Amino acid sequence: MTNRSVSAAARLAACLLALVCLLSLPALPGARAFAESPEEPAAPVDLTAGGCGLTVYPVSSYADFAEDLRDNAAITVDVYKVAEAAAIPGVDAYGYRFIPPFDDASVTTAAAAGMTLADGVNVPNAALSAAKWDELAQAAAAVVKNSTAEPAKLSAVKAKGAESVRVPASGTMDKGLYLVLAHTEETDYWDEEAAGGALTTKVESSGNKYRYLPLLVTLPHKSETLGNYRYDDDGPIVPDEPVTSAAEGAWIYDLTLYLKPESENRKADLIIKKTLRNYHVNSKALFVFRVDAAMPDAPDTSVYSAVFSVSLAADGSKATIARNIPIGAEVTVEETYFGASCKPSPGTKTIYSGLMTENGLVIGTEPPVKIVEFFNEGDGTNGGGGIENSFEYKEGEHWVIIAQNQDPGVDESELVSPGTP
Amino acid sequence: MKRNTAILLLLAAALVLGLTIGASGAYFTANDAAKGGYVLRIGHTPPIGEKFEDHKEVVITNEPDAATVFVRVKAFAAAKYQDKLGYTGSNWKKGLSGDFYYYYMLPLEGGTATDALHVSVSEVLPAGAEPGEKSNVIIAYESTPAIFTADGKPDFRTAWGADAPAAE
Repeated sequence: MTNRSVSAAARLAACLLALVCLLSLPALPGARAFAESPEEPAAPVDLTAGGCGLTVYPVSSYADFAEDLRDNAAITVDVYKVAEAAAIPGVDAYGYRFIPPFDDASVTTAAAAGMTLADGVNVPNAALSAAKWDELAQAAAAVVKNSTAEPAKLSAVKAKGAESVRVPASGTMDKGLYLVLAHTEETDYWDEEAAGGALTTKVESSGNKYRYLPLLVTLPHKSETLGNYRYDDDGPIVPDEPVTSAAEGAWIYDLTLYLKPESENRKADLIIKKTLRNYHVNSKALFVFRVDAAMPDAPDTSVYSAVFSVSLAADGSKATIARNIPIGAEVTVEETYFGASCKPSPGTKTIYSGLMTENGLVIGTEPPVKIVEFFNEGDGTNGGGGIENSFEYKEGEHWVIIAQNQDPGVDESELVSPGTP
Repeated sequence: MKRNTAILLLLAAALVLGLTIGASGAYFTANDAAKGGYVLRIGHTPPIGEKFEDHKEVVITNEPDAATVFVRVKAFAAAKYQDKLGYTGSNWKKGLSGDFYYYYMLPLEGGTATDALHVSVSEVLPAGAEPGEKSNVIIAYESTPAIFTADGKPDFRTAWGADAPAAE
């Protein structure tokens, strides 16, 4: 058999493969994103240079945190070309040729799990699942992360207050397979703490942390009809059935992507320290502290409300800790009760208010503090004491007493980590 | 000379560990005052007890041979729930200022105990919370030497101040 006949056979195999195995479009892995675009007259796929574009929404307006991401985060969208579109003769479909540095074995191996290589072209199998696309996206993202020289990319920044960003910022982009990564310039690119070990990129706004899974999108795209998209409480979701090149409808060269980040509220702890002086009563003194917090844009909506106590029987110091206060919240810590025979020390604070940050409570223009201190001294001879009852809501819908402490509070050293300011 | 009016109270919080609070109508409940090893001796003061079952039951006990005292109790929940604490109990009265003190309206002689003050937390620990959510309820108590008027009535207002209800 001649080389020409081998090549012809390969092309024929590719054609048959493409006919039998409908080309699943990679822009729709699971429900993380979907594409929509005006329907165009049906025409064979055009794989000539240029002609494509993306409008990327970092979050659907239906998401609970959409407003936060829109108004408080400037999000950079990086788009890396992973593979160029390669025609499959005789078929209205296309495959991929991976380009450097994405022609790395890690990527082609991941691709081989869901594509068939024919005549140098990777043709997606019909059964190529969203999970396989995810694996391929992870492999491509790892190439970006591990490259000593960053691969060429198209970048655009969604400004604070804007809902979407256009890629490329001007002109058009070629047909092919692209990796889409969203992040913020102020934070680390990758989220090393991502659950499950998956590579994710990170976006942080004033009060929240978001993770984006790397997303592969193919251009051009093919959709059946826009009416196939269903809506639920979370907004538009992708059709249950994958969109294939065998479906009716036109090739779409300009896509709108709605990314779907995961939200993770960031929280921090605050230590409350009590120091008692000149106390001569033969009885315990109980001190009670209230911690309340609300986000600056919704001051009337509580995001944290708790009460804590410390008891002392003599001069000295003890501390307690308010855990999991939302970062970005305006926090007030108030000593609401100071024993039967104590008073605040002259010139000391009985209330602190500030902005919770990951480095501590920022009060005015002062550096953040992880400890707020209250000082009292003996004043009177009444006896007293008390008990702190702690409850936790358990699976199965009931509250359980988890601690009952008549001597609440511990030595500060048990709460403070090395280096705490 | 400092008056030794730290009248010797003892908190016996007989608390049922692992108590399950139902999704509705949740109350603390108490066992008996001396059970459970929660006795807290403060000098040579008499005991105070707290109990739990389906509601919180606060009982204050004065030690034998101790001087007669007046007592008051105050419960604390998170600010947004403070107004939702409920109180019932014979011979307990709410303070006049709305400062959440509850006064025991009888002198507490040595060796005697108050009637129970039931503190309801059914709305402080709401149904439908998120698993893992935590909440504290703190009970503070105070004691002061009993003072009587010339005609022998307890003088709570002289002892505690204007917040205390007058004796009946």
